Amino acid sequence: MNQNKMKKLLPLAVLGIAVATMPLYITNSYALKIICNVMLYSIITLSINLIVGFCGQLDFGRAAFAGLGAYFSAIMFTKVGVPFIAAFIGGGVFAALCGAMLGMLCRYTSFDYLTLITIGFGEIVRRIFLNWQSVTNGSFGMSTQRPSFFGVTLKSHQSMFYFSLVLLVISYIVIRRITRSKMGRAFQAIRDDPIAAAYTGIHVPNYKVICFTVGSFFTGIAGAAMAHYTMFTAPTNYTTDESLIMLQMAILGGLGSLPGSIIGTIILVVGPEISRSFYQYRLLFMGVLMVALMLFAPNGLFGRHGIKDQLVAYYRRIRGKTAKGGGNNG
Amino acid sequence: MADILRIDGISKDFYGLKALTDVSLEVKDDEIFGIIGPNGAGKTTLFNVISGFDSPTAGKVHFHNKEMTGKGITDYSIAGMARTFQNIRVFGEMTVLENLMVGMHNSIKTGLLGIALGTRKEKQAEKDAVAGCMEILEYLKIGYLANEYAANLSYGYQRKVEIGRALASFPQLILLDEPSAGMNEQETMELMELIRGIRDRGPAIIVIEHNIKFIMNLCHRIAVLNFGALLSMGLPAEIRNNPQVIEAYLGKEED
Repeated sequence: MNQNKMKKLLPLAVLGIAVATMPLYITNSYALKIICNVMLYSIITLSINLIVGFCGQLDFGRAAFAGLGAYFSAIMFTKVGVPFIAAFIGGGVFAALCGAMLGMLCRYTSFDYLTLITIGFGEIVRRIFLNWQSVTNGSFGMSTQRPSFFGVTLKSHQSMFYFSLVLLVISYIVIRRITRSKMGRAFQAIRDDPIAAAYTGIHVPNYKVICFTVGSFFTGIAGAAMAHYTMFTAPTNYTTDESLIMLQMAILGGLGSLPGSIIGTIILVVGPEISRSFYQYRLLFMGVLMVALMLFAPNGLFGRHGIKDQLVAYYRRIRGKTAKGGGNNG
Repeated sequence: MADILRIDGISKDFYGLKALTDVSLEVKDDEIFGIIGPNGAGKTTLFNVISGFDSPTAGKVHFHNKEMTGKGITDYSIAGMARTFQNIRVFGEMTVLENLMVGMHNSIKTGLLGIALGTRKEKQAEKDAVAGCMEILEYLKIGYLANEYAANLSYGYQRKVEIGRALASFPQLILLDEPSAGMNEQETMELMELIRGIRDRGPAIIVIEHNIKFIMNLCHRIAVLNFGALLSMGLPAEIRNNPQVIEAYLGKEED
């Protein structure tokens, strides 16, 4: 039993050390910047996974919530002068409140209408960022500062790396716990069969609101962290295109799989960066990828029946055949 | 024996089409109650009204001496009612164990904070729930399927998962909608034993069935529906010899 646990924990520990010591062997600040981006985007992807993958509510307006968190935190920290930690968490709470509001509005709405509402909501929010000049500085965007804790400002990429890492680890652990709790099971039950879920005593509309609230909190936190990292936030960062790319990260990784979300984010953040010279073809590439995913692997890499499951099944079949000489169980 | 369910003068119209007219009945808290009737007699509509899926056009539903008319499905479930479905509704992308744990939803007392922090209380509640669900799975003799995805199971096993999920909510009344549909003779016999066993564990049971033999052998009392109205109600022997029931099922005897 204990040895089994050790076997399971060992790769995790190796991975953890490898990631935690990254700034020691990756000194290129450009590379570190991309890694930070991956980690912050991963938090958004995880929150999308919670809403879309676990609760089954197809949300096309996630970027708006990142924006709400980012603007709230930036305004509070830079313009109002609230301590960073309060402004930052406030950004998450503000996004969560907006998520709760959206959830309240569409808690009785069925699948496809909900998707339309989220697109509309995203667009409304972006328009507000664009036109409320006195507060958001309109299309010029807002500059803000790096995070600072008790007078210590995180100026270097290394310090931002650890800030993002801590944030990602905490978000991952909390979201993982939620998905494995009675709350996560309620979300999944609503996704699989809302009527049966209601008959087992789950208040479906309430749980939809909870899901949007919790998910939006993490999206908002990640959005705020991004804004403070790049020291800038502008309405162009929060378009529906951006929402779709975030959604694509979750789908590529596999809905319902948390490690999958991180892998999907790595591919879709690092991929375009590597092929900078093809940058203008990025959206074309993503479009083709989306079509291919929907056609051939709607469950992504690590989702159930996803590419990984298919490969494992294929491998087992081949191995079974050679082991048994064309065995009949294959 | 107290009445667990009492319905008074239930009528249900669908846009002018009368699906149920003035149906009244009581179910006692320790019996297996059967509802039979020819196709289109309104059996499933009656079930939907009893379980809160449809609200009646007229009449009242009392559960546990509390009026439940017009309340939502979830309120019925929290009050202690559970059901299975004619066309099975399991949570396909979840494991069998998780399906049952969803059934146990309201007996796991943890909040968002407890979950986020992973408190000892939360872990203990989860452990207790797993143990409770495994006990039910063992009782249904499908403990070995605990980690199988429900969508991968055959029809008969999915039915058992549904029953298990209903049991996991510790109900006082279970509604079974055509539980023997698609089962062979042998499986039907086993199901009958299972339902008897469940009643002995506590909850009262209402069964809708097509299979007359099944319901005659299983139920303590039977109600017969025809054209949305209550045709007859009584002990199986009475129902079997009731000329009106025979007429509804087999047609009138020629003189």
